[in-house]
Amino acid sequence: MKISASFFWLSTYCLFATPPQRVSMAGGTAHIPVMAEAASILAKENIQLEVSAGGSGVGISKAGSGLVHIGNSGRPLTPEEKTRLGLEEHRFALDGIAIIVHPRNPLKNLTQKEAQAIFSGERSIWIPFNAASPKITLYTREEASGTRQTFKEGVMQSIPFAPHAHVLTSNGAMKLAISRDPNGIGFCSIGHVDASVKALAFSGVEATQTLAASGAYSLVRPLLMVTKSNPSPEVKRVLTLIQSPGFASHIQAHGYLPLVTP
Amino acid sequence: MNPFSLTWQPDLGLWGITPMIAGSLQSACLAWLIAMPWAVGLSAAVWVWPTWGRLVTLGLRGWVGIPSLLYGFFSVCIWVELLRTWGTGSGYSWLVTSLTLALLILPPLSLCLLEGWRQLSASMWRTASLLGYSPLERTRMLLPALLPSVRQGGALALGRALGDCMIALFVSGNIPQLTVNPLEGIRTLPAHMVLTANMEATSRGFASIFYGAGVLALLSMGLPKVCMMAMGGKRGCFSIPSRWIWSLFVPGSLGLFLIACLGMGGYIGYRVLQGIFVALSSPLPFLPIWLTPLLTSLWLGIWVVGIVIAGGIGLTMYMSTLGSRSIAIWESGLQLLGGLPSILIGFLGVMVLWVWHGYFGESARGGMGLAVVCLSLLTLPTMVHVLRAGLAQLPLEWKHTCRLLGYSPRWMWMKILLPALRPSLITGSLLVFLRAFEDTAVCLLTGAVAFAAFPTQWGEAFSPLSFQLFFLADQYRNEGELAQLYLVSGIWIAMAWGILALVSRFQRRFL
Amino acid sequence: MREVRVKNLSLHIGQRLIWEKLSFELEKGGSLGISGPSGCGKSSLLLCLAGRIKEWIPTAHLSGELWILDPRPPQVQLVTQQPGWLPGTIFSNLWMPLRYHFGLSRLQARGLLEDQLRAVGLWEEVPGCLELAPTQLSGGQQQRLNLARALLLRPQLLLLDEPTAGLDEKNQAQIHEILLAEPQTSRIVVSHSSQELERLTSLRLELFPTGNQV
Repeated sequence: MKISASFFWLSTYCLFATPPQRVSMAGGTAHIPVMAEAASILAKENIQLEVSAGGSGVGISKAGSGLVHIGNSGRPLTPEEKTRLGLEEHRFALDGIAIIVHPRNPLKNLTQKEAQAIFSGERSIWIPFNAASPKITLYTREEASGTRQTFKEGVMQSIPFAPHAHVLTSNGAMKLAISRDPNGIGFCSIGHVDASVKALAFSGVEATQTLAASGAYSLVRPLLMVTKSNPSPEVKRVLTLIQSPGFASHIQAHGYLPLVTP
Repeated sequence: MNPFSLTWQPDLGLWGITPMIAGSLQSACLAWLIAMPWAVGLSAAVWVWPTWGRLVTLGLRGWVGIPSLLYGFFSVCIWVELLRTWGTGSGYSWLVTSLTLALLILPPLSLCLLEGWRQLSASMWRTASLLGYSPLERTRMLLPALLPSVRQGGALALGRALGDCMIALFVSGNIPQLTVNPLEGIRTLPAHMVLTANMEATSRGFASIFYGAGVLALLSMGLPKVCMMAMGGKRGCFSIPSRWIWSLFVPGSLGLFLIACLGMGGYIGYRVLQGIFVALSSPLPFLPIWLTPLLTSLWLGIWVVGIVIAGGIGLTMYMSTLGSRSIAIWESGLQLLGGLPSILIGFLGVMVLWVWHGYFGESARGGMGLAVVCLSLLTLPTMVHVLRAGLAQLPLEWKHTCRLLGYSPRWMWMKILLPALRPSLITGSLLVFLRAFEDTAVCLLTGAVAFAAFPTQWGEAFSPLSFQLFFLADQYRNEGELAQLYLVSGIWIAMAWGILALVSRFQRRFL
Repeated sequence: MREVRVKNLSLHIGQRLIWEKLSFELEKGGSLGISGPSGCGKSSLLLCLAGRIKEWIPTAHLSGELWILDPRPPQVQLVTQQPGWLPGTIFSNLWMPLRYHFGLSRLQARGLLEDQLRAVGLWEEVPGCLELAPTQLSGGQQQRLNLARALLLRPQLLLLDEPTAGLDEKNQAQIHEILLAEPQTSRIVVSHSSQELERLTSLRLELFPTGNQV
């Protein structure tokens, strides 16, 4: 009897309790480390920032259909998306996409043609004309990923990805897989690159964020948040925080290039 | 758009799910082929060497408590690494998927076969011993009589292997290709459903979920039946095996099992200890990341148990008033529901959201409410089964006496039957709680996210422990975080063992 | 006023005929004794009168006319040969039916229980019996307890199946006195002892394997 009474009171509390201000986010996995930092700052102001993944495509579509307040995207909105879904962009950083391999891999640079040959499956071994050469293990991202989208536009263009590529669902997973596989090759956001993987130069240009900012490194994409027009005050607070100069140092710390100088 | 074309390449506009169907069948069948003979040999070994047998039974009961999410996680750290180092390729492959699935289905299958050996008539055992056979010989002679248990257990195991989602997501590589090379990656239907669940609802990729769910439902219901029929007809595979094969096979199964237990148990135990050490000594934040998910999962489990108790009692009471024909219909319906993989139940939740969104146009996100409803549906058959088994064990004369005294059915239930069913209720609740706590597939599809706050409203996103672990296992950044993951796994397994020990204690007291 | 009316009643169990074309009437306050060799269906007749034949023996088939003034419990009580106890103490076994049918509380029931147990002779014989389990009593004691449970409900019609089988002389006499002390209650008694039936009942029905004779 006592148990059922307390159960009843607990459920009533759940139904009618006033929660902290909740702002939900979904989308690109590159954004996650930065957004997790923002969440801990906002928690002090009683705003609960809920971050989930899914890829840029998911972020845009969920923001468009009102399922989340903010969508995280790693690619610009198309004009069609802007008008059809009624979304507006809020850019806050630039990110380069690096082609990564295991640190022990002797490769240093890839031209666009070489990259296309590898990722389409045309070239399947590391050392050409060498039957004893280990096979290339391809890693790619799921279709909804903005990272993948940028890589496709910048490298593959109209050539399709190899169907036998391993599919991973986040930048973190990609980094983990490559760091453990000496024969692997994949791509991830430059911000995620650390000592456990090696970033290759693309068409002779090193993959660093400064070169990405100056335009010399061509695989670049903006990191942005998308919302419906006229966002609520809590959402505005989140947007302002992330785009503020005070937050730029956090963005830099995670390896991205903030659009606002700190 | 042909959903059954042979290629899945969205870039080229090809949306065929045939590779995934093949992947599911390949991984489940190979797993079954590995686990089934092993389980037969292992269960026989328990009878031949009783002292080892006690150890084995303890080990099997322990394995049963480990959630499939952790199987997947451990497998990545152990088997994928092994295959990559000693073999070719990336290690993410059909072989490792089937191996891990085999380890998943081995414990329940072996326990089922043990029960089968136990139920063989005592006269058969006595006759065999009177004829002067050694224990090993006795099991060899009696093997054909085990066929009914083999059929039933084998069908259930196949269904389980087919419907599993987490293991495939972790170790299969998720490559949508048709292949016959066991060292290459594949993609299974449940994993495909999870990967495409996040696509835009109107896209063709999303539509493939519906086809995938339909095929998976058909396979889950049909393949075990086919398996049962195949095993029933072919008596050839259950004639008495040759003497020297059997004398190698049984000790071999036992030895393999002990090696696997020691090896994996030792490795995991070492990692868990490492995790404890790291958590105590390093400044990595532990509680902020793990406490809320733990509380969320507990809360989820409590709600599911509450609903299932009410539903289970109601359904049991209703079924006891029916005639035998209607009871048979209800029982087969519940069996069907119980046989569905959890990913399909989660998919029902997705359908609800989709329909809601279409009709009301509102922001229908998932949330704890939907997860609770789906998990209740998933676990209801278990509760009803346990309650009805308990009811069947009560003396029949109670019912007669109650009628003689003129009690109404409601009075009989409230005052006599339900109090007597308390052990069954407790057992059922514990099993349901464990299942709800460890589930990942349903939560994945009904709105689980990482790093959410404790859910205080029904429509809000939530972070159960299973999803948090799944999310972080994908992208840990250093050894410290990996050690944390092992530590949490260790705590989880300890909790599952505790609950299962309680369950067996109640069952012993009750019986 | 008639209590029970039976006309051309026949009982088949499966394909087997047990008895056929049974006819008798019982007045209010009257008593009927049933005798006959073992296995001729005396207990089954009591089950039919209690309306429970189909539950206990699913293949039974009754035909003919059976009318009872007030056929539902607690007005009709069947005291079986083998008492069926529900889980719990003697107190809960005796009190629960009172609570169910008459809404008596524990306190109210205690006095009644004590009186009835005294009447069947158990109160002094087994001190503190209310807290014991029914199965802890001897066979004879359980029989008397069974009777006590039935009598507590103040039935209009009491059906007794071998009420004093296995009891010693003194207990038998006790039981007879209790039954005779309730003239308003109609009773139908099945017994092997013609002496008992002489004492307890005014009408006699003798069942033969294929026929009957009043």
